[in-house]
Amino acid sequence: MGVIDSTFLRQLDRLRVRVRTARGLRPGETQIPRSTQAWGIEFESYKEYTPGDDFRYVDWNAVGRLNQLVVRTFTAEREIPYYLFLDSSASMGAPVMDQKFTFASDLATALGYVVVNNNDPLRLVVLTAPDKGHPPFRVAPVLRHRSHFSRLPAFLATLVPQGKTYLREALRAYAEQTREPGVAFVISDFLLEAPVYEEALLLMKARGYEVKVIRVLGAAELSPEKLFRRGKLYDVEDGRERWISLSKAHLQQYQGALQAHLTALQQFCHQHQILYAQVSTDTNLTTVVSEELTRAGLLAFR
Amino acid sequence: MGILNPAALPLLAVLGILVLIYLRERWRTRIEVPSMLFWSLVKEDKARVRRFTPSLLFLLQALLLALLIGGVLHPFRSQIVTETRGNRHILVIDTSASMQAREGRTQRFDLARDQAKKVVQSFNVLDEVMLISVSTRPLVVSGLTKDHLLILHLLETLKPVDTGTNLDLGIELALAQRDREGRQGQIYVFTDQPTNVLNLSADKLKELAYYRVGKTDDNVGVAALHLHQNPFQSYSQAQAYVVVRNYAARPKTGILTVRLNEKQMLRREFTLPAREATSFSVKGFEGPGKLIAQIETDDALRIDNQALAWLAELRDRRLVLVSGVKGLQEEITRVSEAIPGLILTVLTPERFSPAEVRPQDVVLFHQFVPSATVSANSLYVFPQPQNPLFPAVAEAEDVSILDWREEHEMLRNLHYVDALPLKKARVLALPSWAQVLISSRTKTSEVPLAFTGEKDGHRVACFAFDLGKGNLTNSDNMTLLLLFLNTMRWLSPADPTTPTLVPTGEAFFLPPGAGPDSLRLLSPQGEEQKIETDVVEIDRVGEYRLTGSRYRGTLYANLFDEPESDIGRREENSQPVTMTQVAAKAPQELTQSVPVEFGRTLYYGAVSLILLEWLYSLWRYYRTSRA
Repeated sequence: MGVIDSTFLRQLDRLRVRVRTARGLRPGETQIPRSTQAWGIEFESYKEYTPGDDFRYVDWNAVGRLNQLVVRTFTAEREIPYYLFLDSSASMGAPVMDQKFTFASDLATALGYVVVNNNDPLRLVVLTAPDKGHPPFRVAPVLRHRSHFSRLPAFLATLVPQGKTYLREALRAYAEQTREPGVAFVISDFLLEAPVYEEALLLMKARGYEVKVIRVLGAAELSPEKLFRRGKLYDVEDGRERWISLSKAHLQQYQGALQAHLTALQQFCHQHQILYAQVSTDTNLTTVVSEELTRAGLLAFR
Repeated sequence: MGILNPAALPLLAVLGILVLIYLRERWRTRIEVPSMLFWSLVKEDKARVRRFTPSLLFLLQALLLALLIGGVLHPFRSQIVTETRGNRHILVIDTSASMQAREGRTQRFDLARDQAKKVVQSFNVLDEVMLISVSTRPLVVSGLTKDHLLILHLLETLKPVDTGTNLDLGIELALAQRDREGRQGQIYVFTDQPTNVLNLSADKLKELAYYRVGKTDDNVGVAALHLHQNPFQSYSQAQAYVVVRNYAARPKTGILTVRLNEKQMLRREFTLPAREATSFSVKGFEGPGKLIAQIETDDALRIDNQALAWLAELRDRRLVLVSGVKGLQEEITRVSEAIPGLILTVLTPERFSPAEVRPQDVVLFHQFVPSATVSANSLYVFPQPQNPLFPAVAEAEDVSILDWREEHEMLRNLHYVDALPLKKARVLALPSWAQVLISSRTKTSEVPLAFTGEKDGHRVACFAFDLGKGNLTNSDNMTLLLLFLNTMRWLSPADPTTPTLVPTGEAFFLPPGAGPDSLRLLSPQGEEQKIETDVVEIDRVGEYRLTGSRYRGTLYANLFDEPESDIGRREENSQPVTMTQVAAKAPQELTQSVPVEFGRTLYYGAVSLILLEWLYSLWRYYRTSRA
């Protein structure tokens, strides 16, 4: 499990996913505020008795005071389906020193633990390149219980970042075939043109998903001077080459373009009420999960 | 600073190769980035990227290479050092025959050796000594050494030989050895020769410490033993002359004995006035064999009291004449009839076959050169224009003889070579193996008229002119007849059983094919030794025997060397003979600049660098593993 050890898991036990609107159809353990049901544990309010209501929930004290038949209602408890969309394109594996994909896999594992720890169903969807008629994603078996958690890192260990990024195509294809939307974590480096990821995220939102974006960045991406000074750059996805000498001006140009791209995604998420977090691979995973993701509102303490 | 091995300078090109490797690696290496999204805005700069810029690793590797190459170059720095160094001394000791002369109860050589020992014992312990012995040739017995005991031991092992001396050469060698490293040294000469016989300049003579030994002149010796017998004479016709010389400055008496195969032929008492010579004639020999001339007298030098010679038996020799000219056939027949032991076989060119010829024959080809090789000594007379051996270049008429080699055996006793009748001659191309014997000249080049040489192990002579009809036996042309007879004599192969006469001090070269393999030499003193080379040094008088699987031979070595026998040589100048004494010098304090090589240090530096690199990478590995 790499960096995910028992100490880290104990820390994760204290966390839960902050959910705003998503809910499932099946009863579960997640209380849905301002949403009632006829049975339950947590008292929510009263309602006038209507034929068919369970007599056991008639509050006779209130009937005595109000001289009216009222029935107690309870806070609704539902299970919430979670979807972890993990980008496994070649860009997640480059540059090697950043180990973005490893970091993203560990992060997905940690999020998966938080989800299944709450006995909610979790589906891991790996975004890949389309292959011989297959859709551009791979889906791991649904994890419904904490005891299933160990399957998740085992599945992630089989993945290798490769191929082009098909974020838009993959999310659309998966959303179209899924009937029950839920909370969707999209973990990617988002190295795409803005219209592409915007279309993909809006599509998810339109389908009823509560989308949460986690952008993974490598240290060498943020500071390319750590990677090289002069050299022939090679795009691992489309094979393009470019001879770059990294002068101060060139570095500023690069940083400007990167910053603009980061800001664009962040602003887009803000405008469309999508929770957004940007994490760097040179940050400790514990810090990322317990501090940065909670600060960004993706997770919360129980 | 400098380098001792400039041949290794091209190795510096390896640094250039390292640069090329780095450039290639840079051009080839791709830096993987996740996307060109942000880099597409940055201007591409191919030229700057491809340019070589040294990295730390490159600098380390270049330093490592530079250290290794530097080591191979053998760099040095000059260092001023002061050392205490002894003086140099070179001893030249005469080991010629005259050093065997008795001086009272001892030998001259012992006197010289004793003086040399005293000189060596007077040297400082740090002094370096070289020992050179001189007879006909100088020999470095020991190079410069501080081991004085070794020099004393080598002096003890030296013995004089029965040869002449070439003291000039020995002293020149010593001078050259002394000046070789620019260091001065003293040369000591131990000899019985006076300084006036040396061909050295006065300046050089002054540099020598000259120790002359020997005073006696008491010697009588056999100065010569001449045996007159040509290949066509029998032993009964031979005549021997023995020359006996008195080298002393007073009259001497003695007895000369001449023995043939130990049988006494002559015994004669003689009395010779001071520094006079006399000769004795011996003839009427009864058989072939070893001839010994020996004198019995009371003198200081014994080795010149005896001489050896060999009386040969007459053997029949065959002359094969290959000619189609009847006139010449008749003339050669007449000549051969007048020479005892010469058998003539006449063949026409058409009937000639190489199988007709035996190795001991002499073949005369007249106007004919066979295409096949002839395995015998041969004379070619006026060869036809088109022939494989000496192709004719032109024809010449009324040629004048302008030059000839009078020392050659074929021209011996010919006083009127230019009187040869040469009405017609051919200008022949001179083969590479031939030497011109008689020649004329045109305006542009030399014209060989007669030449000789050795080809395929056989003697070859060629006359470019014709022995015309009547020329050979015409009383007006005695020169031509004598030339012909001398040529026959020169071409007659020697009897392999006849001992070879060799003067002492000269080298005897083994005949082709004899080879030194398993050849052993028995010296006159009865010492047997294995022959390692094709040359046998003859340094003792008497009879040498060579025995081997492929060769057997006998050598008679005589000392007919008047300067050696004249043991009482006096200074011709009025200067008296003085014994130069050289005071022992103290060791010198020498300050000089010496090159100190530090290539090894560079090697150590390279090894240290590799070790440091290795330790650093190990440290990084552990640090990464722990992280």
